[in-house]
Amino acid sequence: MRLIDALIFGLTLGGTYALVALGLNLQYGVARILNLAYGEMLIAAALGALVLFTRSGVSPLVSLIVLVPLAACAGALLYRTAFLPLVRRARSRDALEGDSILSTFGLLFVVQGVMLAMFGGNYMSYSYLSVPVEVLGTTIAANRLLALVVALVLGASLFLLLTRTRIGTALRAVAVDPASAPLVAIDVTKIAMFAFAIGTALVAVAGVLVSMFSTFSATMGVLFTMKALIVVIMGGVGNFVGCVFAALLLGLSESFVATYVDPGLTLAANYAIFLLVLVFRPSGLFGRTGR
Amino acid sequence: MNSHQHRRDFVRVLGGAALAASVPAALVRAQTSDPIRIGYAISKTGPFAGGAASAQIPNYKLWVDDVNKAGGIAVGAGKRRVEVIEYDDRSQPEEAVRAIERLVNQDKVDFLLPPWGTGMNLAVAPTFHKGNFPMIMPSCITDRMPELVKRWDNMFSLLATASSYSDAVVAVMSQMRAEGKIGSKVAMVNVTDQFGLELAAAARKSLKAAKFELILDSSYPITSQDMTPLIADAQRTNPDIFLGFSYPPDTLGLTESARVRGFNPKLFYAGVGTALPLYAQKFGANTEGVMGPGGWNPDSEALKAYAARHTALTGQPPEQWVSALCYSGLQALQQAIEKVGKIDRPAIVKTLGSMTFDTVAGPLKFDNHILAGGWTVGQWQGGTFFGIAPKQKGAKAPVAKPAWKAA
Repeated sequence: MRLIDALIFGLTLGGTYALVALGLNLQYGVARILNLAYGEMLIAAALGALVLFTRSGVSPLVSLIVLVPLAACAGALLYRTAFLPLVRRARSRDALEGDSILSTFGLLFVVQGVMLAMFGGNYMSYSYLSVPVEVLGTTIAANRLLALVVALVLGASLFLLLTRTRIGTALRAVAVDPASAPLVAIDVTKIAMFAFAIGTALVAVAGVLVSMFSTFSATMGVLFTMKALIVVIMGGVGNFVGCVFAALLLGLSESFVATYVDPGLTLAANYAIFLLVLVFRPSGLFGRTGR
Repeated sequence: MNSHQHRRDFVRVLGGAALAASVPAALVRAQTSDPIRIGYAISKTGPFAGGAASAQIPNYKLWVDDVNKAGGIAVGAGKRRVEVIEYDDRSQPEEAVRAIERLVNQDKVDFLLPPWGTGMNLAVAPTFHKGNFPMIMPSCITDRMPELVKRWDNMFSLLATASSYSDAVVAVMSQMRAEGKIGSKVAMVNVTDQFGLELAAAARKSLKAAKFELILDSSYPITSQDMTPLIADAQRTNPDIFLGFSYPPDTLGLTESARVRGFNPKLFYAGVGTALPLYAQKFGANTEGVMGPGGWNPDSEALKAYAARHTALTGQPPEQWVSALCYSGLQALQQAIEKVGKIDRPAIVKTLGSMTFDTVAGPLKFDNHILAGGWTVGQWQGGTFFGIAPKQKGAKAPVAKPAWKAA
């Protein structure tokens, strides 16, 4: 009973982490933009879902149909106008990483400022699909279970997309070696923009699903950016199986430590695992050694 | 030589007379038209922004709006409007101190309003004290308050000490146990941050003294994402009473998980956030019987009018713990300024400590710099977060919590 509880809670929490991290993995792993405004984008999507639900009664699941394509377009536009000049200018991958950190750090404040101006700094929350579901004899909220399922489905589809399709091969080529990809007739700009746009669409999915069960405010984005970054680095940058695996590992470690040791040590356990991974597998659990 | 001197004296006298004639006029004009400058630095961004936006910022805005609509604060012969200078401290103590110093030295404000949160208030307290700025704090909870007000005599607290909040809920529990409404088994969780730690530590002591059986005592780090494991843990021990010394996101999380899992102790107490309008919006009829720190009794005409003004200006009803206190603290400041009749901060501080003020929340008096008779335990009853402790005029009787209904 206790074991099952810990297992189920760990999996749902890990599912949330995976969901939050998938988009960043695409943006950072393939498009090579380390997006520090990632959490703010997540909150923006959450706010969108909240407004649609509380003011017009639109179910968050329906609002996904509007918000996800919108986010993808916004992501593409953002990449074209704000990041493409950086990509063109960058002499090396490290230089691009540095530049993208600086510019998205600025973007973070722009997005946050707009949200603060529109919605204020208050806590926001609503309930949707907050109904009990029995899983293996333990009770959890349906919205959390949904987040886990969506994370697993998205993680698996991304894995299949990357390994089984032509565009996936192009995405991987750009991720591995953007300088040589044009030699085999890959339009690096287009592929990177595509990756960034899909990443933004994924963060919108995460934002909408997370908004169903968490209390958030316009200034809370950085928490999600941090969590996503830890998951992405732990799993191996650009690796989606690794990303989901790392997220579930973090979720499970949190819930097992909370159940069997002390709930006060969950954060310590998380960072201890992160530290161990960094020390022994610096390129992530599933990362290639030496890039 | 003599005539020279005379002439010079005459010129001096004439000049002096002209000055004397012009100065009072200028002063009088300054008093009636120059606004009183009030400054504050508060968290508009960063982790404290949610807390600051829940009660403090809306009431600062409402009070300024009310004062200016009434023509200003009566100082001496005329009324002076209030002009506000606001900075964002970005939830960083060093930024708050810098902003307060800028308000004092560059913006030359007449009065300062305190920032949000215990840590922030303590960080800026020396700067407030240096300029003798009255500091009426709506969001500073610590057990060291009696020592602090001794060190900084310009400091007043609208909240009681941390331990008085947990002592009060334990007293309510004892009373309900004596009435046969609840049993003795307690499950307690707290957030590992100053507020949660102090309240839990005080609760442990008073639970022991009142012979309650603490069958679960655990803590969790701030920013924890999922409260379900904590609730499941508590549920396994099957307690009569659940105490959660939590922050707003966790308060909502604990309540949500308890509701989803059908965890139904006879007494469910959660921490900061139970008094928020958001809490009622999210849980609706399921708030019935939930307890938390604070509370109020909005039956008076003054409070009803206040709540209506608050809703009209900010777009949402007041939070039901700190809001009315914050507003009445500002009214006390205004009345102290009017009583002294000029911008004499030491005299105003002295008046704040001795006078009884007439506020929306009724008469307000500081007892050794700490508000006397503030609500310490509230309970949702019929859609209002009524004060149930301390036992005083307007206090409702505590009831056992009904089981959660399906949403």
